[in-house]
Amino acid sequence: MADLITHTCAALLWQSARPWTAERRRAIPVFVAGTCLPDLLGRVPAMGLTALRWPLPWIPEPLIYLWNPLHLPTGILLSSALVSFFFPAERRAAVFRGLLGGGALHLAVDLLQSHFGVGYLLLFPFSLWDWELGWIGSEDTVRIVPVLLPVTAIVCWIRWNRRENP
Amino acid sequence: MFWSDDHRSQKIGGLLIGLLALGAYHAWVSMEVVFGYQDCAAAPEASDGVTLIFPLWEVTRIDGPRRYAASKVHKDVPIEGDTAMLSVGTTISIQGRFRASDRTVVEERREIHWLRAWKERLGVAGFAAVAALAPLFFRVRGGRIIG
Repeated sequence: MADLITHTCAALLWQSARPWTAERRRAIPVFVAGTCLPDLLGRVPAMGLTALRWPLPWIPEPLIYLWNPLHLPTGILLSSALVSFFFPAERRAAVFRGLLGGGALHLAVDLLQSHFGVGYLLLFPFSLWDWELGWIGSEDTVRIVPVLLPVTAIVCWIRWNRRENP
Repeated sequence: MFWSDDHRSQKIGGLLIGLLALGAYHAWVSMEVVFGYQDCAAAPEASDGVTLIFPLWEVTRIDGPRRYAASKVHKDVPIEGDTAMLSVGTTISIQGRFRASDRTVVEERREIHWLRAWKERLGVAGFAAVAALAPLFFRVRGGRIIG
């Protein structure tokens, strides 16, 4: 997985490709949240439990693997729908589309990476076929972020000012 | 309308059950279908020569120039391989073969993740930033998230 800074920058750059209308400005935070959710729901609990299992070996091993589907397409689809139900009914469909779009962008960014062993189980639970593009190493985002962060800030600043003075 | 408030609790319950089933199936696949070190250690003679993969494991002990231990889900898996480039705390991914005689993994291919510590720092910084900024864009009012 790439880190949340990379994912947030990718989401903001994606959203900056089109003008920031009032409707779009309202949708951007949801889209950004959608790019963060797969890691927050699918990776953080698993990483925390893995670290805890060294001092607390009675933590059952299946509990660590339980979260991984939340970082895969079917899990992203279901978790986006679940989170949408905590928004007001009149916004739910738009929130679901935003979260799902953000989740799709998250996966697209992660698929650029190369992992030792198994890639992403994109068709899970229907198949255990795994795939990734493998164009960048799994730690290459460390080198990318120092460039990506200021570029994103500049692009968002330009987009924001265009909104103010069309 | 699926997105309406009608039967909202049942819809949330259904989605939670779906997610739980998905997670349980993934855990079952990880434990029962994917062959791991624990399976080899449980039946060493039958597992002699089996190829194992350890992605993003941490070196937790150096026992000599050709022997060390790595941990992740399981602690201190014994591995035979050159330790010249390793130190305790180094993150590695390895592929190796299980040797039944001493229940050791003989390393065949290795990747050292030199930038892993920086990536973890970046991950923590990103997590902190998201946690700090989220209340600026989302609030909870009347049991619903307002964004």
